[in-house]
Amino acid sequence: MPEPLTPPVFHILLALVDEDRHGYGIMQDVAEQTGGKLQMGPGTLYGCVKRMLAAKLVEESGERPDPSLGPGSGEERRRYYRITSLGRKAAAAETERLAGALKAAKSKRLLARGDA
Amino acid sequence: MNRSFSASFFGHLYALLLYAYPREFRSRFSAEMQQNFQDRWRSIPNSSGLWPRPMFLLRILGDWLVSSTTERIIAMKVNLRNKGLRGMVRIPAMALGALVLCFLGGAPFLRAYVIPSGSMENSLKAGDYLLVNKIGAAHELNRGDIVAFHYPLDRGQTFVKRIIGLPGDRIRIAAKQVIRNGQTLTESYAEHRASYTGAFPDNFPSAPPSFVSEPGREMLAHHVVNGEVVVPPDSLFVLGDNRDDSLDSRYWGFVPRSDVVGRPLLVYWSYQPSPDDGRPGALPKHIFSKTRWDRVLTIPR
Repeated sequence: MPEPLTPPVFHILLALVDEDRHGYGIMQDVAEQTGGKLQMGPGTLYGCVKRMLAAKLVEESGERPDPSLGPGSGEERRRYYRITSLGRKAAAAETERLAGALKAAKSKRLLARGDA
Repeated sequence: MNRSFSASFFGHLYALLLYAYPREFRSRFSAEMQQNFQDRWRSIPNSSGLWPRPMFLLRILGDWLVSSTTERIIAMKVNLRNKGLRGMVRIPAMALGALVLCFLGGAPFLRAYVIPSGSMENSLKAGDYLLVNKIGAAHELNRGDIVAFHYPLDRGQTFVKRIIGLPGDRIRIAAKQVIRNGQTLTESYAEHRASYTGAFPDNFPSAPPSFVSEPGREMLAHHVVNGEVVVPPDSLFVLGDNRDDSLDSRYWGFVPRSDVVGRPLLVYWSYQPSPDDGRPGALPKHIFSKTRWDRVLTIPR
């Protein structure tokens, strides 16, 4: 059983499951996933990205999937990230862990309305 | 504050903050983080009023404080593992060194200057203490930017002037009006204090007076086409805002782009110069009355 992922790492992986994104794209997607509850600053984001690169959970993507951003828009400074197969496994394992935790919490009627 | 100006100003400030991160982290992520900052700054809708911007800056500051400390601690742990205690000592020593260097002038990113003359009035006044951002000095230079550079006739001195011509620009002055590439400029920053019109400085290029220096004569001899100075590649044509009292490109030619030191970031103190400045005890006596408080912490533009 792999170690639990921290919430920022887990949400960054989730952001990259469906497409490669640059830093700002990841921030936007994470904010959307969490209804704005997890708003990462750039230092937090890139600190996570640094360790995720080292752990081979993500890698840099050579492609530039956002064609709306032409030259001069700062596009050359943005880098895109892609989830690796190891990253997918880690995210899936974390999802299962969370599902287990959710089940346990429900069985103990933690939430006031049992159907939540 | 104008929108793109404030974006680039706070962008520069953020670029400075990034120096708090360990070198390895910075070299890998600082360009991205700056871009990220700009993207997010621009995504704040104009219609949303004033407060989202300060809020955004506050959040960025919080994130910066926490994450730069975290990254430093992680880097310190790695250092400790690899190099033992010697790696630890380096960090506070580096911070102290950076602060001292900043004021002695060797810092890689910031330098402090005093403005000695009124040649840039009213944008910069004699006695303004200035921080100059040395990052990306040679990039993104625009017409109308104020720049600090090595004085061509004595590279030990640093001058501050405004960029009037970029490479390829055609410049002339007719009756005190600057005409660039055929268009008369509207220059809100320019000051004219003399009532007379100078034969040379106000109608330029023309026959130079005797005190025009060698590089100035070289410019007039080789870079004038059809009565206009044409700025050569990798050079800048600069003028002081106080046009009647400024020694600038008119008198000593172009500034090589590579001689640009940086762009003024902030006036951190401003002191009204006076004749008894040199006397012992004068500074503590006058420090409050002669500090120009309205200029302290202003942005020269």
